[in-house]
Amino acid sequence: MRIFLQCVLIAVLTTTATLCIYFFHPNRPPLYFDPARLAEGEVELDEVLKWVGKGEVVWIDARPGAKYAEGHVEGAFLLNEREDFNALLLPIYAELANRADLPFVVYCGSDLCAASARVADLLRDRVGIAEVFVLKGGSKILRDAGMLP
Amino acid sequence: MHFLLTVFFAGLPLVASGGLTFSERNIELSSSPSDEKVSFVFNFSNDGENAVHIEDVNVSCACLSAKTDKSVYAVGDKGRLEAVFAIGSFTGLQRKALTLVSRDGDSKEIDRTGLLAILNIPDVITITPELLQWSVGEKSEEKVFQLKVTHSKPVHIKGVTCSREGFEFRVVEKKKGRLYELYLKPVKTSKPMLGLLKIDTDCEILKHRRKLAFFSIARKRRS
Repeated sequence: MRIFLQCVLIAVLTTTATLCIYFFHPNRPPLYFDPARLAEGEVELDEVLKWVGKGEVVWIDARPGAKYAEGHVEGAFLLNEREDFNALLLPIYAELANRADLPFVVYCGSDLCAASARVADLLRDRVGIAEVFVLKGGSKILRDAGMLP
Repeated sequence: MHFLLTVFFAGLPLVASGGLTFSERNIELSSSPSDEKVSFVFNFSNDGENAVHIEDVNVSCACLSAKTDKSVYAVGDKGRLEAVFAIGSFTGLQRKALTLVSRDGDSKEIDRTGLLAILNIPDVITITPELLQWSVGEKSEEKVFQLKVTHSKPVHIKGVTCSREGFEFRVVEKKKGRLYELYLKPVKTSKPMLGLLKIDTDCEILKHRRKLAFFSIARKRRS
């Protein structure tokens, strides 16, 4: 009985410690990992390539300008907040507006990079582009596919 | 004795964060509207039993650069993680995460310490809503942007241009240098289109001198 109670006590204490870490630790891991799960607004490269084949996609590069200059997806436009979103947008606005019916796909450095999500929000909520997606995997996926140097 | 051992092992995960102790893991700060960059520092000390080797500092945004003042901290050493945030066109409350990657002594295990910078970047001129929309076929009625000056000094509109033909607009000064209304109306809404108003002001801060207000005539999204 005493051992049983100690086991229960250990279980309660470790569960409490785990829950504290889960709710308060800034670097807590997720409770589960599903690599196939897409977040809202995300799209995988395989799907985008179907649109590319028909010439029906607008690529947006949300990385810093220096990275864009080193190499970007063919035909991609540079847009990010770090270097003044409006200043980057104005010179290309007419071209984007003319293609506003097409899906826009935004990429940045990686899945951890928040820039593409933020640029996607700006294109959708501020500029008024109807369909905007964030590329899952970012520039790494594009490099693996040979679409980025 | 059993109880003490139990408490000890249950509490271990809470203290297993490497030898570095940070005075603050979250920093809150503000910038002024004319700032192009904001610098901040996380102070820490090595209160552990071994020297700590810094492997890397990872940041969540290309807008952030960060580094420590040394690569190895002996026991008792104090250290600084210095970061610079390039403001660009960011405004409002920005939460930027940093991760200090380190190794304790000769251990091969990597420690990751999460840090957070919460930056309040004041806007100078706000435009509400950000986007005016009509639907294709909707009645062509006037809608309005409100332009509010939140800067300490007044800002005046010097000129407004529209990127699209087929739209009529007018500017109403509600409070000089502080509050303006921009009324916009499409001549017709038969075709989808995007457009913007370029609003030029006399704002003393160059990056806030031109503002953009967006509008669209939208059709239903494809499924």
